[in-house]
Amino acid sequence: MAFIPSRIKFKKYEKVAGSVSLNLTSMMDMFTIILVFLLKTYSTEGQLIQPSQNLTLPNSTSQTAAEVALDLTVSKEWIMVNNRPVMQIGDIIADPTIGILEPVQKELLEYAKEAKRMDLSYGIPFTGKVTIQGDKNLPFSMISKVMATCGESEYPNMRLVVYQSQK
Amino acid sequence: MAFKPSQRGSQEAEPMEINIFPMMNLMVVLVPLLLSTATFVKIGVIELNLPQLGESVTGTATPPTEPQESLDLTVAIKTDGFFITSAFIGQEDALVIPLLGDGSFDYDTLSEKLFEIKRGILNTPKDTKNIILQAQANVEYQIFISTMDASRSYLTEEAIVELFPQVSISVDIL
Repeated sequence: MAFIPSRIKFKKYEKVAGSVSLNLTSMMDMFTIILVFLLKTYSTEGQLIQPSQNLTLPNSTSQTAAEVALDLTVSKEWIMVNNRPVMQIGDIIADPTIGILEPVQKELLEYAKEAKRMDLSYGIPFTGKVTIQGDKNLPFSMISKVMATCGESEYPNMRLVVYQSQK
Repeated sequence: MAFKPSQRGSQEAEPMEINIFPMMNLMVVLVPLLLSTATFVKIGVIELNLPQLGESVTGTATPPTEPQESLDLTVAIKTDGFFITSAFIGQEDALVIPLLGDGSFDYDTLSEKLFEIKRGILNTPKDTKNIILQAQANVEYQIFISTMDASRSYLTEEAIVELFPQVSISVDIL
């Protein structure tokens, strides 16, 4: 007596060739997770302050958000006011008798004059705010000189720009 | 006429598939868009407001009032550690916080000590906000910022405790 041929075996080959379907479910899962993560981290503000080249900002636990103001950058080589190089760091280190950085002060007073003119003609209040971006390896004497110069040049409200880090 | 017998038992159910391609299209567009606008490093600021120096002060400015007893709390950053001096703890026993074993500054102990000082003066009319920072000329900016962080707030197990948020910087210019 012959055996009954296996039905299971036949079912295997019954599929019509050409109807291959790709299983996209796992990829969809991945995309959904990424999308949720990105939506969570999305901030509508964007970056108001672009960190300058040639310097690494220090880390801080400060939670105060950045705001737009006159930009003073102290990189490893130059002091820049609104991205215009004003003074070389090497010159300041070479001469320890320098207290107030005069070229920087001149530049700042120029900006202050312009801002006050704007205040008078258009009513944009002059607040004396300046954001200071400093490299994290700079000596304190350099930073204190820059801060003293700002204080002397009608920009006493300083904001030290830092990377926010969770402790 | 007899009804046609039910074929429900003999018919094979077609496997249903949802058309996920519109969803995929949406994802493929949204993910790169959000990736390109995402900010992974957050930039913050530390506010420092100096009194304006020089002659530019106008007549309308009110003279600074000092209703509280000044504590004169000073933290000096030197290359060999922190030194806390204050009118409260007395000049003789200035608190010294030496460097850690690996040569880094001991911010946690600094916060703890300042927290103790703050707790000691909470119910007195003394000024509990201001602190003065001093630093040696060759102290790095990062150390200075971290010291400022340590003296502003203290992270206990339960919450962040405010210490001395109004930081003044003492420098010897000219």
